[in-house]
Amino acid sequence: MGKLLVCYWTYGFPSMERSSIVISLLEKECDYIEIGIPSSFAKYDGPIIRRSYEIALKNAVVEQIIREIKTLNQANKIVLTYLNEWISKIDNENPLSSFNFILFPDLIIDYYDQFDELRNKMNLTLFVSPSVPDYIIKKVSQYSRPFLYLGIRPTTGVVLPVNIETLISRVKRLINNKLIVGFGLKDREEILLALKAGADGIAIGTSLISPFLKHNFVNALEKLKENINTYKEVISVV
Amino acid sequence: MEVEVPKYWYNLIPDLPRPLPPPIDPPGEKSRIELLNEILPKELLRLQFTVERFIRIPEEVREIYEEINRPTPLMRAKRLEKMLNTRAKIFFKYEGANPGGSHKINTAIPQVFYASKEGAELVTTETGAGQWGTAVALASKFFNIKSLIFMVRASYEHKPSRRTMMKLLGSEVIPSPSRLTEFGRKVLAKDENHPGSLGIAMSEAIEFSLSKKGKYLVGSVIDAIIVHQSIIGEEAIKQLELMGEEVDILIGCVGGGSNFSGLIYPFIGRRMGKRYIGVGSSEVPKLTKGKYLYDFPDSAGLLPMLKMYTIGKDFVPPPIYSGGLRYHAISPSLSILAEEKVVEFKEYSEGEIYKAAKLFTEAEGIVPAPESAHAIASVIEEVRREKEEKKTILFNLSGHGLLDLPNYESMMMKYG
Repeated sequence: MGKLLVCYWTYGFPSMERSSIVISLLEKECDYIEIGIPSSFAKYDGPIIRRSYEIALKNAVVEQIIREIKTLNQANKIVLTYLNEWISKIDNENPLSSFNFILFPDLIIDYYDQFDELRNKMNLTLFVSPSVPDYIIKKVSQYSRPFLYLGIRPTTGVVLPVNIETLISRVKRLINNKLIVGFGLKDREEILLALKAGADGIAIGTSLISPFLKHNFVNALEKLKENINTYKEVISVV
Repeated sequence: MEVEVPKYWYNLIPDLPRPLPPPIDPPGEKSRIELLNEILPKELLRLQFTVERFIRIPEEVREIYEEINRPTPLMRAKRLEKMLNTRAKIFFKYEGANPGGSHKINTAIPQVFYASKEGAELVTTETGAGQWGTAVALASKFFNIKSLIFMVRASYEHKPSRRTMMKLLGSEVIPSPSRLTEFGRKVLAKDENHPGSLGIAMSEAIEFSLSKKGKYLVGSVIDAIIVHQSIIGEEAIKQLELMGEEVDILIGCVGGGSNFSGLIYPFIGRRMGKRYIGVGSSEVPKLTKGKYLYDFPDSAGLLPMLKMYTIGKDFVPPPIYSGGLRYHAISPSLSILAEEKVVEFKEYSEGEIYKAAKLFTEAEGIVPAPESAHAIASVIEEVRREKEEKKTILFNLSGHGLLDLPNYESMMMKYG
């Protein structure tokens, strides 16, 4: 079976209208799309994704962003947002309940005690980092749909030296479902390493967002297409 | 039969009771996490962020561990047992037997090895009590690299022997706060007689290293350092096995947490031992009064924030002699073990640890470092509580106190 390409986009960035354009493009190219609801403090994200959140929040309020995301075809969408912002709100009328899959990057690290309760309320795509103990990775991976997401670096888009094969083979030994790897995959070589080490796919975010902070929309869109083509080509090699 | 130097370090993270929160950048444009690439040796970062349970020790490092005569002895304090009139057995891992006189050399060797392999010509660091500075000075000699050490001013003045030892090893030793860095000048502008703190010296060492394209070396707190120090516990487990002993209580003093964790994490990971006690100083009450939150490891806030027990990066500790325990926080992994109540904490005053150090010296003829004397105070309390109970205690005698004799002289006048 082919390897999966998971693409991230911050809803509302660089503008409401343009984010819809990018998402429709990603629809055609990626197996899954992670759609970020901007957060005021995205603590596990790097400077580029954080910047996209700031811009998105200037373009619209979160309620409007959620309303618009709900109008999208949910089939291959994973909505990403920080649990920190919702923990007090999901008890009553859960505004996130209608989404197909939800990924909270801070759930396992900061709210593990509430995992069992939350998994009964919604479909979770779980994010784990290398600093999550074995027994927790084992347990949560059983409930993670459509895959388990492993962040190989402590923050998105910041390239610190890590041994990718070691990290992936540790997690692969513990789980039975699909493993998607992301958070700071820096180049072709690293993607190949990750896939050869057993990752079932890769997640890309910072490198898609970054051109839109440097170039005008048309050029940035071209750059994004180029980047996606490169990823698809690398993936097809394995 | 002798125990060999282990081939693997151990990392507790895969066996922790809950996930370890990663370092984070505070809100703002500049990424401190990104800056780590410039500050620290790459191999240290790789070890920090590539989590696996057992890590093969590089052959070059293991060879030096052998050359400096590791394993360090695991000894029984029989005369102390007799003096305490107890049925308990008391063992200690004597890290003071290392060259430099403390456990700090266990991580100085691999860190300088990484820096030298990566082509660095200068390493910098901070030191409080002087043990860490001494270890870096010595390891730098092993690899023929220049070292520059910012020593907390209070210690620089009170511990001239440590200063001399670092200089003897060819290090440049600068009292911190200093005029060599922007941060140091800022602190001095506010208070010309500032006694300094580890957090300030750390910020100075990082700033200086960045400006000279050197590498900054880390003395404690972060996971990679604790991994290096696991050599202590890995050896101890084999040594106890050879003796046919099983331990019930493990005790270590806690500055940043590396000597405690170095001895005790391999036991916790294998579910060996019933109680684990970390001991700090009541003058720096981070274990009992600290809060578990994200804080900066250094005073200037140059490094990423870590989630840990802290009494605040701006805490200026009173001038106690246990310089190694004056740091404002404890390591993130030890903080989790505290939150989960896997590790108990005790704090003792300088007067109390002086008495413990004196008793131990009288019994064993080994002068403990004032920091390690905190662990001894806890051992004595445990033994005295139930004298008749047959139990086996192991503590880390993380360093000797032969260069602290003038400090003991002062304590003698004050508490004797």
